[in-house]
Amino acid sequence: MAATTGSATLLSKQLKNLQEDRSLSNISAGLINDNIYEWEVMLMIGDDCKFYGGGFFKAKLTFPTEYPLAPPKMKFITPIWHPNIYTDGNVCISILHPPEEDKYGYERVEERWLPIHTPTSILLSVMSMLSSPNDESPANVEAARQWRDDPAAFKRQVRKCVRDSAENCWD
Amino acid sequence: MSSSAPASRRNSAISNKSTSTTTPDKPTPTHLDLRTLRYVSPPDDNLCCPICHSPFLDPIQTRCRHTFCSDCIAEALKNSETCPIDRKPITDEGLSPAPILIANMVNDLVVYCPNAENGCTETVPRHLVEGHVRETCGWVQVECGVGGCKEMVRRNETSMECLHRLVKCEFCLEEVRRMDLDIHYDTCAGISTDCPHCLTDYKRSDWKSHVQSCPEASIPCSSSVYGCPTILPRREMARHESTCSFVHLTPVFRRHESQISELALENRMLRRRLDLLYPRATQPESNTNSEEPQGPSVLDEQTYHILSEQEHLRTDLDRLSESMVALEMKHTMHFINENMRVKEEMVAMRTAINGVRMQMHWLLNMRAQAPFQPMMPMMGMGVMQQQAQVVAQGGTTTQGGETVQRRHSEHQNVKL
Repeated sequence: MAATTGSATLLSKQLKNLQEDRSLSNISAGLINDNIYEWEVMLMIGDDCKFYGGGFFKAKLTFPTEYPLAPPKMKFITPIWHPNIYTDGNVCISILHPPEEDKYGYERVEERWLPIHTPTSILLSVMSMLSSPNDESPANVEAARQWRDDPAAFKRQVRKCVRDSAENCWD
Repeated sequence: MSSSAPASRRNSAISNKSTSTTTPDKPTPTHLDLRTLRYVSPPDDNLCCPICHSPFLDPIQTRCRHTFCSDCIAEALKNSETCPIDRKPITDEGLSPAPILIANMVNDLVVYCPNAENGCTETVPRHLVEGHVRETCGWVQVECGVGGCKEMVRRNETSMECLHRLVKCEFCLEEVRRMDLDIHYDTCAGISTDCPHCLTDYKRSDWKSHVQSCPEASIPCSSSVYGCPTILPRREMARHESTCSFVHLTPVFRRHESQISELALENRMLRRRLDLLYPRATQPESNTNSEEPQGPSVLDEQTYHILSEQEHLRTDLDRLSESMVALEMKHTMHFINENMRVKEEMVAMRTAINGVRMQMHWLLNMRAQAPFQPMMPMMGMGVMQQQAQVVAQGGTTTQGGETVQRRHSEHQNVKL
């Protein structure tokens, strides 16, 4: 019980920080159904980001009640084509994996989740992951292969989802 | 084992500070979650735990000299026995109380009273907040205590008389609790109020019935449902209604209304029957497309019958057109064959006629010119043609002279 209220207090504080931080104006965040454990975030990608610049990507962050001891899950709602994002939108990034989980041996323990991570640090990591995909442990194998072998086709596909995301972002 | 060791250290660390500080572990009647406190000024980030992002509660230092709340680091170590910042391995033995300076700094941060939402305006240093809530905050519920009363009451109201005593309402003579008296006055039926229309005093209990008949109260015309916009005090309404054209037309409106509702009912009935007789155009499609095992209704059977009939007809048509094509082919072949035979025969006849014509010419020439020799070239040509004819007809080739003679002999048998 104490852990639950503690994580809720922490999350509401972090949400407030995220919403008020002027330097993070390209991220907007809100709650889904007033549930402090479910956030909806909109990532507005700047033009300096390779391929994905100009995209408006909506994603959902789901926090466990053990937060910040356990990592949240992140899932893109907007369709996005990226080597490290599953086709259903789930994000595969090492800092969102709990340290004990070592299924594939691709990631070093140093890159895993730490309780000192915040939603802000997660979102910044994801945004940097967009511009520099990691093809060692691809979540979307097809996209990773295309990114490596046929960058022109990869760029076309990404630009298409960027255009679609900008069109559909306010639906 | 992970939480007991830090807890003991924490107690010793806190005891250095001041006697009024209580540990969160110690059960107190007004237990307070110190994490929910609101700080008067935003706390310095350096005084905040990296895990809970709040000012340290019972700060603990690791061997790698990072500082956390004791509860936070204990929980984190349950998951992974490494420092949450640099991942250096640590165990409970590696934990020690943080420097007293840090503990003092976080304990001196000024917070709002947890009852601020209820109205308490006090701000106190954090280490005093529990004492404030326990001893002095006027917005905490405590026992009434007056005359042995066990009911709960706000502390700043305890100095007055017992609020749970029953008192008699001076207007309706009902007995209510002292603390509920103000609320009771708002609804007390015994208190008189002014009628807003005629400004006469009425008891609240009588007021409702009075409003129904108050001559000054404004009411709408009785034909307002049919469109009369007039709103007048009740006493003038009778005069208005005697002249209002809407009121005069009311019977007509009523009759129309009832007629319309009858027609609507009838229309509904008819539509239902129509639907039964002519199923909607979409119905058969949905039935054939989604072949769901629904209960076979009459409509479905009819549709099915029609559809199967159509299917039969279509297959019949296909079969017929197929056989027609075959027949046409056969016919054409037959025709071509017949035609060829006739053509060949015609060619044969034509050649025969030609032969005969040549012979006739020859004979005519013979008759016209008695001497035999001059006719020889002519005859030779005729023989050559005759020979070609013979070859075409599969006859045997013979010597020119013999042919001539044979033709001579034949000549008598041929009828022209």
